[in-house]
Amino acid sequence: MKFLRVDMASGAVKLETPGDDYTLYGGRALIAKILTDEVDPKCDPLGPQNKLVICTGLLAGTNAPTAGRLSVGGKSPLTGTIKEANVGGTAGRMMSRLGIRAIIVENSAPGKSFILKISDGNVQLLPGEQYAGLNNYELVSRLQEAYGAKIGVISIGGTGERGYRNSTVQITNTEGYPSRAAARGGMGAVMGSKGLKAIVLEPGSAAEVAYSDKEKFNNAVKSYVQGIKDHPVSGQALPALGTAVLVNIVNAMGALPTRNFSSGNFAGAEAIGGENMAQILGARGGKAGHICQLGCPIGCSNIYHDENGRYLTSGLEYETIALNGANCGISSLDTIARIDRLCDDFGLDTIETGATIAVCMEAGKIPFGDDKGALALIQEMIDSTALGKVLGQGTAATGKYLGVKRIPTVKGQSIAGYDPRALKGTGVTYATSPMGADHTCGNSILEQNVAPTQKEGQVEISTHLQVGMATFDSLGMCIFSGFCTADPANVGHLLDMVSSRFGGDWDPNKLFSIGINTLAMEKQFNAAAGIGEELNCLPEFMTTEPLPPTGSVFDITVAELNKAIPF
Amino acid sequence: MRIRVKLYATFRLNYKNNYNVEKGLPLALPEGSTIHDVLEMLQIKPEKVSLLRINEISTRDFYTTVTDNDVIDIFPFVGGG
Repeated sequence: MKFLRVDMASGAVKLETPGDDYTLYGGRALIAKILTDEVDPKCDPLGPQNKLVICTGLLAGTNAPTAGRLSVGGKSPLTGTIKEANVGGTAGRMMSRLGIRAIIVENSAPGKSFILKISDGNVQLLPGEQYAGLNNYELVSRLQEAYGAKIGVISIGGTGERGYRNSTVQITNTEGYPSRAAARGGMGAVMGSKGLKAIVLEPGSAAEVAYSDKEKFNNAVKSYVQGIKDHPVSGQALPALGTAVLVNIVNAMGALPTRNFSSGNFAGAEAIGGENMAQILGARGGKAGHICQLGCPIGCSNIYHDENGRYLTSGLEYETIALNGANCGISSLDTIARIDRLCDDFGLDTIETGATIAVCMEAGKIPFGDDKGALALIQEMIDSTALGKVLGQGTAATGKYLGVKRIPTVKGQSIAGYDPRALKGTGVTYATSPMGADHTCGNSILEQNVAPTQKEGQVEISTHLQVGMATFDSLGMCIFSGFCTADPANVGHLLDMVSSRFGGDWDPNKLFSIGINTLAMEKQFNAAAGIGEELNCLPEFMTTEPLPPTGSVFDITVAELNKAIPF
Repeated sequence: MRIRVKLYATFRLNYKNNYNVEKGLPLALPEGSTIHDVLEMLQIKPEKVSLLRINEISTRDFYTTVTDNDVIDIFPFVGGG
C-alpha cells in the first residue's frame, strides 16, 4: 500500500512506499502519526503548513467486514485540535483497490479548484475551474458524466471552498450519491484551503494484499461476521431501523437534546423515531437496511424518499434527527430529511448545523419548531449572507455573535445527540476526547452496569470506550461492527484477523495498544497546539442547570475528568 | 386489571400493523401480576430487555407488581448514533 503525496503549490504528485515503521499504522492512528511527524501543531489549520490526510485502515483491502471506512484528518479549523473524521461509503474500498493507503495533500493553491484523478498506475492533478462553486450533488453528477458512473468521489461543496469551519468532506455511497460525510471539525475547509475540489477514484484492478496466513484470515472473517449478525444491535436493531432506533430510547432516558439542550425529553420523539421512519421508508418506496459500503453485514443506512416517492436523501441518521429535530423542536421527519439533503449537498456537518440553528432559536432569530425558518437559515449559509457566514463558522461562533449564554460545545465543537447530564459516560468522552465533543469517540449508550446519571464509574467506562473506538477507527472498521466484541470469542476472531494479516503474536493488550498509542499521540499534538487538559470541560450551564425530566446535572469535576485516557 | 404496554424497536416489529403507536398494546391481567408475567405473556426474554419503565419511571426489578391502568415501556438493546 502506497502513500500518494500531492503538492498543491507545485502540482507535483508522488507515489511513495512508506517505511516499515508505518506498517501497523492505519486510519486514525496513521493520521495521528503523519501529523505528529510532519505538521507543526501551532500551524494555521487553513494555511499551507497544515496537511489534509485521507487514509484507509489496517484491514483495508481485505474482506474483513466493514473494513472500507475512510479517515479524513488534519488540524481542525473548528477546534484547533488534531482531527480524524471517519466516514463510510465507497472511497475507502476503492482507494485500497488502487493500492493506496493514504493521500497526503500538502501546501496550497489559494483560490484554485483542482481535481485529483487516480486510476490504476496513473495519478493526475487536473484543472477543475469548471467545477468551482458547485455543490456536492451537481458536482458528483458532472464528474460521473466526465469519468463514468462507477467512479468514487471525495469532494467538497461551496462551504469548503469558503472556509466554513463546519464544512464536511463528502463521499459517494453505493448508489453514487455524495451522501456520506466526514463531517466533524471542518475538514471540508481544510480541503478547500488547499484548492482541491474533488478526488476522483476510478475502479482499480484490486491491489494485492499480503497475508501471513490467508486461510486463517478467511476463517476468522467468517466467524466474526457471524458474531456481528448474532448481536441484537448489529444483527437486528440497526438493519431493521437504522441508527434512528435510538430516538425513543434516548428520549425515555431523558437524554434527547431538546430545544437547545434545555430538556432531555421531546414530545414529538415518536414522530421522528426509527420505528416511524421505517413506516415512511416502506410506504414511499425508500429503503431500510441499506449498506453504505460493499460487503457490510449490518446495513444501518437508508434511502429516504419524499412525499412524492422521489429520492431525497440517504443515510438519515440518529444524530441528524436528534440535533435538527428534537433540539430545534422540529417533529417532522420530512423537514429533517430536507435539512440532511441540504447539508450533504452544501457540505455541512449535520450535528454542528442542528446545534447552530437551535442556538439561533434560543436567541429569538426564529422560534423553536419553525421548520421553514430552519431550512431558510441553512440556505443563508450557502447564499453567503452576513448571518449565513457566521453560522458557517459553527455553533460557538454563532452563539457568541448572537449573545447566547447557553452554548453546547466542547473545544468549539457542538455536543452530539446525547445530553451529557443524563448520559454521563458519553459526557466524559465529550469533555476529554482529543477531538472535542464527539460521541463516536466513546458513547456509553450500551453500558448496562452503571446508571447513566450516576457519577461514579463513568471515567473508567469512557476510557475503555475511547480506547476501543480509537482502535476500530485505526483498523478501518465501522465501530458498529465492534458491539459483538463484548463477547471475548469475537475479540479472538478479531485478533486472528489481525495476526493472520500482519503476522506475529497478538493478544488483546497489543491490539488495544493501537488505540492507546493513538490517543497519546493526539493528546501530545493538542498540548503542543496549546490545547491542554484545562479545556477538558463541558459548558458551565450543564454543570449547574438541572436537566428535565431527570433533574440531573453534570457533576464530574475537571480533576476527575482528567483521569480519563491517562496515556 | 388492564394495562397498556408500549413496545419499541425490534419488539414492536413483531406486531407489524396490529400495533397502535398512541395507545400501545392493551393487556388484561389477573391481579397481582408482575412485570415478569407481562414479559412472559409477550414472549420477551428478560435478558433481551435493556430499559423498562412503569409510568415513565425506570425500573430493573422484573418482579414489581403492576397495577390497573399502568403504562409499561419495554425497550430491547439498541445502539448506533
